[in-house]
Amino acid sequence: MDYFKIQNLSFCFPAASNFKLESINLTIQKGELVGVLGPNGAGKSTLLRLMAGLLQPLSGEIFVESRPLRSVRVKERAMKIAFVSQSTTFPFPLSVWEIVEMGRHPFLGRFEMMSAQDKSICERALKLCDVWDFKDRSYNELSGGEKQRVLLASALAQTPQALLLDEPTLSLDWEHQLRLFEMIHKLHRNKGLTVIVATHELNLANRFMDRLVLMKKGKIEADGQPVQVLTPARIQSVLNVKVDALKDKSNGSYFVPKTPQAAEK
Amino acid sequence: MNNVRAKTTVLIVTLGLFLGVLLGCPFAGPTVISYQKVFQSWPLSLDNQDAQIFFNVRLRRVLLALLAGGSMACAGVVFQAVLRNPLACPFTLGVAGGSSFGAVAAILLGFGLSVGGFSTITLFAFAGALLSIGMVYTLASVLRSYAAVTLLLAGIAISYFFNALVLLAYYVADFTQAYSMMHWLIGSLDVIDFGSLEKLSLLIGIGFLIIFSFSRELNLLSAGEELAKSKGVSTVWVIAVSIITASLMTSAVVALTGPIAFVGLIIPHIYRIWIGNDHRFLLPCSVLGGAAFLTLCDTVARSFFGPTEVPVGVFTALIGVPVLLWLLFHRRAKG
Repeated sequence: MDYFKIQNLSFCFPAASNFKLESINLTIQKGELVGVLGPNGAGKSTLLRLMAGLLQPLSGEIFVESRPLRSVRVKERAMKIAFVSQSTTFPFPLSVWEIVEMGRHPFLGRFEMMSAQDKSICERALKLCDVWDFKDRSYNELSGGEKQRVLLASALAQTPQALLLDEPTLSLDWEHQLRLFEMIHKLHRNKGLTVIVATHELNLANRFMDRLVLMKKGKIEADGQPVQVLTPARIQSVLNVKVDALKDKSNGSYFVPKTPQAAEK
Repeated sequence: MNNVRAKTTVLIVTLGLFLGVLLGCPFAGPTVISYQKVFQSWPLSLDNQDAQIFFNVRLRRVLLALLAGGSMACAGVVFQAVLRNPLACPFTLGVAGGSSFGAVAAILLGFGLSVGGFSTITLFAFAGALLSIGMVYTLASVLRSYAAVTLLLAGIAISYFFNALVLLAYYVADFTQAYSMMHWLIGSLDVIDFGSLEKLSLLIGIGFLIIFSFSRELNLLSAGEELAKSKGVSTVWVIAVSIITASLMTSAVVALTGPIAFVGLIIPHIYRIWIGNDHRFLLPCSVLGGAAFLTLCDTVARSFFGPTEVPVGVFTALIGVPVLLWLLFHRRAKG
């Protein structure tokens, strides 16, 4: 069953004339695990924000379970689709628990307090993301990897059907990058979540994702299984980097950038 | 602070302080009045001088101070949350500049009319405040952006514009006009009649309830507009309603008292440090605490410098700044 269906989607920012998304067509099945790759400015984050309803398309339509996204009410949308941004610092001190609690907002009436059930959903989300132990700590004092997991827990507290992550591994070290991708993979497998991840981590995406969408200059260049999408030739044409492909144990590929890149230009 | 019980304790303590100020401050002042004599006779008799002073002078002024302090603090919380800037205050969007301009224009033109019990200066100040909010919003909609930074910059620009006009009016004014302009611009509390107090408290009460009903949305918005949106907050609507409500409350108060500085900045700050960022507690605590703080400042300002008074606007700054600095250093020391 189609979960997202994007038809002829176009978008541009009013102030940035050199960037636009043009006639994007993309269908994502329920329960798929999709990586969105591409160089800076390819439109990965913008596409994710459009799918999360955070930006409004210029033309074209996004359907969620066959309903146009723009006709879905804001709160109802937040019950279906959760968006995880890059970890930031908040202007005011907030505890980890307070941030995860925010995920229950769409389910609560104006004067309604959190029920025991809401609280246990938050607790489960915190435990799933391995951040239960510091639920009372201040978010701004956490490390990058911990912050990202707290934001993920807050998204899970929305009990969504689809999870959209915008470059979740940015500024994380190798260990935390790996752990985060494993976590995302586990969530997808155990909960049947539809997960879409925009990332620069070619090798991790190659290893963990079922399907890859490769973007360049606001257009989709390639879409399919990782083996089909990621070839040294295509990586060179889209990312402008020459790579060597090394076979790993499971007969997948590892891509190693060739240096020096600058000298060859 | 996550503990609901601890936050409730702070709220109760603040409520106690508020009630103490409400009942105690009317007794303070240069003339000593006795508790028994005040409540001796009802209705008020003209020869019961103590009751006259209590009800007709001091209680009115205390009530105005409570309303003014409460609504400034409430507006401060809203502006800081929505603009995600701990330095934002009720005057950030140019309300002070606009109302000051209205007031000095009224003083300069010297009209003597009065509508609904409010003086020309009050009416002009209110109109000026509305004008400045309108201008900020028009600017934002022309730029097609209601983002925090747009509103902030538009507000600062409008403030400078009106401040220039205020200075111009001050420059061309004669000596007595200049004196009453200065008096108004510092911000002070005068005795107003119970009818006006009633209207003001109705407006501020409704405003507070509207803002309080947005508590959870303000929690989310203060963490970020995109985050709030992704968690199901209709951000444009919440920002517009809460900012307009807070601006109206501020405008109404400032029209009567002049721009009393620091209450709207410091009180939300103190409670944010103390109980954290949960607006369900932060809003009522700040309102009660702001009301008590301004009233205490005014009581000191009018009682201990007899026979004259120090304008309360000077006092809020003199007391508030050291308190805030102490809290900031204290927090830094704690880590």
